[in-house]
Amino acid sequence: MGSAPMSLTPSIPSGPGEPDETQPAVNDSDSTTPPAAERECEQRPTYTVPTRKPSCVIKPRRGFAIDLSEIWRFRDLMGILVTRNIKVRYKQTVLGSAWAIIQPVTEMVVFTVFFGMFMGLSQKMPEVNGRAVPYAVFVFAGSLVWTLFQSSVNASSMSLISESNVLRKVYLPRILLPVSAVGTPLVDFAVAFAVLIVLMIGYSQPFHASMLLMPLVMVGTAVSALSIGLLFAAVMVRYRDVRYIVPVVIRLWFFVTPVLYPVSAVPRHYEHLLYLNPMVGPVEAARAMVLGTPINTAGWMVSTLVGLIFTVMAIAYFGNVEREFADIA
Amino acid sequence: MTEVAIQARGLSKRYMLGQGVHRAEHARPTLGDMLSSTARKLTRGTADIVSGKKSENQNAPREFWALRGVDFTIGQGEVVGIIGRNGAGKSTLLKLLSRITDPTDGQADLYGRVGSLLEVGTGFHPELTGRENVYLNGSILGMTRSEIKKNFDEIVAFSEVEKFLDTPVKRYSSGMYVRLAFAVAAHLEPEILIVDEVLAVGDAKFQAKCLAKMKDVANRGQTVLFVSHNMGAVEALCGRGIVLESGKVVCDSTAEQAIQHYLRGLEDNTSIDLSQRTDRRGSGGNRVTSVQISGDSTLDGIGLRTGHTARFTIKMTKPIKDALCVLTFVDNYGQSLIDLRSKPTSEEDTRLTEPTDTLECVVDEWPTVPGRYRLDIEVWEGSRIRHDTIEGAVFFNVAPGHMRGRSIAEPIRLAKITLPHRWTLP
Repeated sequence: MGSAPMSLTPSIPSGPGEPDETQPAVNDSDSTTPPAAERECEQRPTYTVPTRKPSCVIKPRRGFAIDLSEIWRFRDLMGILVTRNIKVRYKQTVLGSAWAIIQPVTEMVVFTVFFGMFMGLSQKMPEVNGRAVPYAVFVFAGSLVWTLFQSSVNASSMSLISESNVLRKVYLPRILLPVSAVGTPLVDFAVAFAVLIVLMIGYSQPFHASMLLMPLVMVGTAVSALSIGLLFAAVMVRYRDVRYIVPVVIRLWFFVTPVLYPVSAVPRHYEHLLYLNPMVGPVEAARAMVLGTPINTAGWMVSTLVGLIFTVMAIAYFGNVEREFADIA
Repeated sequence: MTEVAIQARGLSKRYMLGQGVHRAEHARPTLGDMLSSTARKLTRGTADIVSGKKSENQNAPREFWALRGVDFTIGQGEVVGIIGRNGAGKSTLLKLLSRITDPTDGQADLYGRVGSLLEVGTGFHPELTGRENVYLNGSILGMTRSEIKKNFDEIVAFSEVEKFLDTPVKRYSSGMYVRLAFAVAAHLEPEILIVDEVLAVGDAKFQAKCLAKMKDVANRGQTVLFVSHNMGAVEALCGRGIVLESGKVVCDSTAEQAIQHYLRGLEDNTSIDLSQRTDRRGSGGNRVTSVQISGDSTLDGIGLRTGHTARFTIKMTKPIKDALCVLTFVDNYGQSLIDLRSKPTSEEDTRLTEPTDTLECVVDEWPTVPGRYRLDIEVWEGSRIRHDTIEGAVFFNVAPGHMRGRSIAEPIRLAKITLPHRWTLP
């Protein structure tokens, strides 16, 4: 056993190229050598600490702990998680991706029949160029945006607990999970948008240049949804109760957002307050683009600003609690 | 002179128990838990009735240090086995080093890209095909898309599931699943590889293949940290061993010495006081008060290993001359394997000239394969009066060892017994 060089102080950094032959000799003749039984558990070779910086330092982190450059390094994983979510979606279904069309269309038909016809909302439609807007187009333009919001919040808030096994067994920037969960709703949005165009042709609605701004609506909605999803997801890791709160919140939120009804149905007095709801701006803007009515830019800005404030808060909160996830997931 | 790959200084991890903050093996904490802990602060005792536990355990959150002040330095290219009992802190250490959770205190510097494999097939999605899962799992483990593409054919060849690549993995047999998962992980090419207990899966042939692959990894100069309960695998793979006990490093040495240290530690528990046991039958005229199991004395009293010496020391309440002692060894399926009886005697026995209250049974080459066994003890006087029967007097582990120089590792099939034997040309 005596062949290996011994050192009882293995962590002393000696520069590269520095002669180290003297060290074992000193240690071997050291009078303070511990008893044999103990020493046999102590022998190690001599180590040098590399002059380069450690590629990773593990120590307790405090405060905000999201590293943007690291998220960039994991971008491949992000892409793969998004494609996984999309692929898994309609596995073992007969109709497959047709569901991406069937779902919004059914919903639109139900809304049109019940709210448009039975409850007479189609009589209260705004007029464009002297012609009342078809309720189907009206409601579809709104529910398109709302569905993006709703499914994004649902998917991202469930993302951490449904991947708790991954949380506990591998390291990855945790924020990737809720973020990548928004991928599928975005794809659904694109599909539903195509359906909307077909619907508009069917109702011989004119197209307006403002529809080119639709990606802005999409991004704004996704970001707002993600902020809510991040908050829910982070709290849900610790308190599973949130899982049952989310659907209730979403339901209430749906009714305070003018999806089924026009903003004009809300008393004028409250109209300004309405836009503090980050979903009202995008829903109204999308609808205005589709119907060709003027966009309430100020309202849209207010909603977007509120959404961004939520986002900043959500990311800050997520970054502060992220490090606990593996211990409590 | 070796360059450092990992240097840990005072690495510590604390979990708070009874607060819902520790990794919940029990129920997930709910708002109700939070409310009840608030209620507990206001009115002591209320929550105790609800939870049915004593208040001293509940009022103050108890600390649990999974790791406390762990220091070590690992050089590049070293293959280190981390061993220790369940709960000694092995998994926590790996979790800290793979950044899954943060330490409470201390620091570790890592030099080089880390790949960690704490579980085979993390993130596998049952609905996706084998091919899709290779990409998914690979990227979760930290490979880039192009690295996976580069190694794809090799991964598939290693996994031996070529034919089922486009089948959803939920249709795979568990063996196929594990093979594919390990194949992905094996082709992770980190400079520091952290592996936890993954060899406990798959059939024997595949396990051997995994071991060979890990050896290969080690030979390429990669640094490997390997946690296992399989002492055979640790001995085969690792040049160095670190033994953890209650969150502290108690031995850091060659793998062989670390294993001995670990087994010696296990042995501390094998002298069992049986005087308080009430689940016994027999006349009670004589009782077994303790049993001690010890291994090879020439190896400084380490625990039992296949093919090595085993000693069973039985102490009784009364010295008797004509005692018949029966030791029955039972495997974990409840199957009795071996009966050892002190009567009739053999010429090799020590002649009893006067009554004794202690008997020792020595087995030169312990014949059971590694695993966990139960020992039942009976004491008779003559062959007529049964004084004592104690089932499950002690449960003990047998570690891998050698039978006449033939290495005996974990059991492959259900067979529990091995024998000294030779293979020759007829």
